[in-house]
Amino acid sequence: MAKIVETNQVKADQQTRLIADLVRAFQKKQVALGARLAPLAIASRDMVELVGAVASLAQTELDGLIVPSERLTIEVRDNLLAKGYHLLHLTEGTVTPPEQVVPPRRGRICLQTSGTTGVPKIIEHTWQTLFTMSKLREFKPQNWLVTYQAGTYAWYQMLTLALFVPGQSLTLPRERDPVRAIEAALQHEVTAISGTPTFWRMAFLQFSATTLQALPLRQITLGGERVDQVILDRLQSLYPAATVTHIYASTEAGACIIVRDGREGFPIAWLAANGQASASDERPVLQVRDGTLWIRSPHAAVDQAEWINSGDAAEIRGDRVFILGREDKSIINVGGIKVAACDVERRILEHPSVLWCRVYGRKAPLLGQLVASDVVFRPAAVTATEAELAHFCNQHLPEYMVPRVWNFLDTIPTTDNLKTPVT
Amino acid sequence: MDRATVLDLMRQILQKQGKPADITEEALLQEIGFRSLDFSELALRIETASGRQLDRTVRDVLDFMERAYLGKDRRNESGQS
Repeated sequence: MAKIVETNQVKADQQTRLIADLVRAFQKKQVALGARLAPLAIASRDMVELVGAVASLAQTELDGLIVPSERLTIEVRDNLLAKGYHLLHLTEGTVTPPEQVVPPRRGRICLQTSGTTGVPKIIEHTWQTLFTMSKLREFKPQNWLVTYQAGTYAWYQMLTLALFVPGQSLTLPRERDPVRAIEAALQHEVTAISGTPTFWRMAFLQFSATTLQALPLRQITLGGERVDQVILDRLQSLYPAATVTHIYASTEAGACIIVRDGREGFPIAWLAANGQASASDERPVLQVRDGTLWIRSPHAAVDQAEWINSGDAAEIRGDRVFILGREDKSIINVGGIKVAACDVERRILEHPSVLWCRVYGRKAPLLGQLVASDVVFRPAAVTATEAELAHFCNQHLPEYMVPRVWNFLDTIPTTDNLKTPVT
Repeated sequence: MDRATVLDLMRQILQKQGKPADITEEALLQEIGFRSLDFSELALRIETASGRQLDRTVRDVLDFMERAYLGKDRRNESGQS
């Protein structure tokens, strides 16, 4: 396993060995009891422990699922036990048996979806489907800052990179707060960061450009949410020597789109024609059907349909395909006229005083919905008034797209995974 | 919410869009550029201020229309246009 840098004094490799011993002891105990090897859900408050747990799962070939303590709600716990998982809580030192025994499938790495609409779904992957970088060109040695929540697809992408690609190190901040993460990055001189656009905007809110430029970054990867042109340009200007890449991935379909040309969206040439059957097993195939992105991918999770509906609205504009966001949330219906929230966001973000914004439909009498926007201003910037922002939008957007409701916030709201929450 | 407050809200909505906001009750909506989007925003602002949804039920619509009709009749009776 690659070297893992961490931000406290405990030796990561020592901790990994301890967890491996623990998991093996659990496995032996099950065998001794004559039990079938049940899948194992491993919980902890400590990200380094959870990395060790993944390494142990890889060694033992147990079916496993990683869940950080903050995601282990009563509903999640009950769901895991009902689905046949033993729950091993490393922080509490407890093992809870499942409500039922399910047949092992061996070597399944199980991920939970974000669960924004209820109890998270459990999606099964294998090491083969999770390791998506095997076909990529050479990797330069990098020290990566891990900004993602443990157990998510993006987090596994970082771990498989460290596990299977030589020369890669991970820096795991003890706390996933962006301030602590950037402090860890500065301390350990990370050379690569993979994170959401919201992570970077929170960093811009807390640190000066001069402080951030002290990071010797050679690779910046954006993902986890829609990537806009403003953040791509800002990062490239801040780090001219770095390659700025953005990735589209989902837990079900895996990593599907990697864009390196510094532009929002992806080239239209990457779309497959309808009915195209010549997809190789090595590359994902993309289609836009009725305004929705569909994917056929060798990196898809186990037991998925051949073609996966991403649930994301997509639109062809000129030579690019733009991903607009979740189908049910990204389109605002203003009196029968459809407005893509991201088109309004793009314009607002171009305002020199604006650091972050979130555009959404606000239920309103007569027209059904009006466009609304939450805004956070850049630190030390001269703030703009509602009238100024409305005028700025009016210069490039039709009247029905200009927000009618503005909320000025002091901080950027985020999910546990450092994304902007969808309203 | 009284008429003066609603009139002030209308002025704010016009002003925000860079339109002349010095309006009187006699001003024609078409001439001052107060359109359906502005009506919707005005209704939303009234909802927010009053804490009451304006068009939740059919009765709400009927009450609104009835009040508007009766109000107009009263104004006509008292010599207002």
